[in-house]
Amino acid sequence: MAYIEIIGVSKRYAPHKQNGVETVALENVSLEIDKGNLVSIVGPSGCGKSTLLQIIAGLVSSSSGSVLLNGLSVEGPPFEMIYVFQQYTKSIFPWKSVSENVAFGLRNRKHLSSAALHAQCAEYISLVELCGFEEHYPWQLSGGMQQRVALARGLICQPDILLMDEPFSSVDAMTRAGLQDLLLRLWDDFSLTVLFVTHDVDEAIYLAERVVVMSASSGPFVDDLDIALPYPRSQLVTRESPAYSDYRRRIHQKIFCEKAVLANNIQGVGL
Amino acid sequence: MSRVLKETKLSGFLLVILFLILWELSVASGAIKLVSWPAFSSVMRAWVKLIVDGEMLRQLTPSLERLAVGYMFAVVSGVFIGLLMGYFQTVHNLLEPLVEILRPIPPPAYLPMAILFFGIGDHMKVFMIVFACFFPVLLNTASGVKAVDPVQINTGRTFGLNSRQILQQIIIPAASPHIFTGMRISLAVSLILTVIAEMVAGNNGIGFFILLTQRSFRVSEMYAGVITVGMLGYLLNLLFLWAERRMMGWHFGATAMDVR
Repeated sequence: MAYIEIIGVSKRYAPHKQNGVETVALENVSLEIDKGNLVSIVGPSGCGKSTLLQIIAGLVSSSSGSVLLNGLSVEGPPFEMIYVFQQYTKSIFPWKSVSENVAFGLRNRKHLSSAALHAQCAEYISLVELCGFEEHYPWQLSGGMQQRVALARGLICQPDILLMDEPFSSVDAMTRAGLQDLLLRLWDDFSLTVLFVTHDVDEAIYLAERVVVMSASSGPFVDDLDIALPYPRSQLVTRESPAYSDYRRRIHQKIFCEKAVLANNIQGVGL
Repeated sequence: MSRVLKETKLSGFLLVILFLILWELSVASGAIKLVSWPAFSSVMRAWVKLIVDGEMLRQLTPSLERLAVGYMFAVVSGVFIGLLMGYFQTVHNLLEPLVEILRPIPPPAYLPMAILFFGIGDHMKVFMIVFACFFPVLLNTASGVKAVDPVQINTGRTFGLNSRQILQQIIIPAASPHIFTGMRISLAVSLILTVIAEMVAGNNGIGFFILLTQRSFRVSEMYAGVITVGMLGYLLNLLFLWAERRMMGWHFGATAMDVR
């Protein structure tokens, strides 16, 4: 039995008022994830990958199918999961300072003395390299720093699973590379299971042990491949290795071929 | 000089002083000779006398009491029901038609009814203030709650917060800029209603005083009363802004960043 099991999950939204067309966000998606894995879900925007992640997180209910965590059905947000949102400017509370934001989740879960809470906050703030910014407010921080606050706020709760919804897509390329390496370090340090949703094929390969590919048609995964690149990964070496390029080509072919088929309705252009 | 104009309100205060000088000159030069238009200096003399003999304080105290009681009652009930209306669509559907029927009624229109029910004492005046101040707080609170970003609520849910915790820790702080806007509108409304209610009925208060002095041809004292109301409104607003900045420093920092 896998750690996280997604069994035939579909999500349909009620027919639109004007044209009466039912929106299908996900159609019969199944996936198994083992404990400790770092899995990327990659696909074009609008393919339903974020919806899938929200269903796994218990934030959205599925129309059919089920999500099992440790064999138990997920009905609401599970205690051992932390969700990192793409919109960090909204997810980080603007009325709280960095240390108050980091303390937010833990304070609501555990009864700790303020000294113990403070000590833990300091530890996780230094973990994401934000020492000296404890009393800053989100608007005083750059995007990358805000997302690191979100990471510290999640990790301080000591989750087993990190669900990340395009967490680095709204920061600049250089900051993104730094955040990717930070994530790899934290994944290793905390033995996390990470589900990482992205539309960036390079990011998906660079981070993950396994990449699952969704197509624009919202249906079942069109590819599922293990990434046999050695850890620790490096922005220089890993990205220049021939194996990396092969993975990249294969995934791009899957995504763009599928798109071309959809667009032109051409039959039999399989690869 | 341009820095002074840009960064201080010196020019604004100079303009006020210029108006006062023109007022004084309009009478002192003999250009206007009207009983209803006394010189600014005689208004000031009347004002100082009212302060010294304690008459102004005697009139202001009951006004401020009514204003404070009515305003607080309106804010507490407006925020409470506004939170319910913003949070629960069922409550919104239940109350919205009633609110939209009652809200557009100008306060003077229900004043006679208020007198029928509450007489001409403090109850009537406080009722008028509460009724007029309630709606701006209610509607701004409700729309503030509705405007809370789903990502913020979902963030709370993923950390396992229950509905009460989400309301206390996320929705109320996130909606607080809207709530404060409603409270600020109502503060100005409360002063208007205090003066109107006191003019219509009663035997004390700054509104009563202005009308009384007008009717007994104590024109300078009437102007002194009007100026006092103006200064009171200005001070209340300053006090409000000070409290808002203290409690919501985060909001002003964040919005200042957006403007840039």
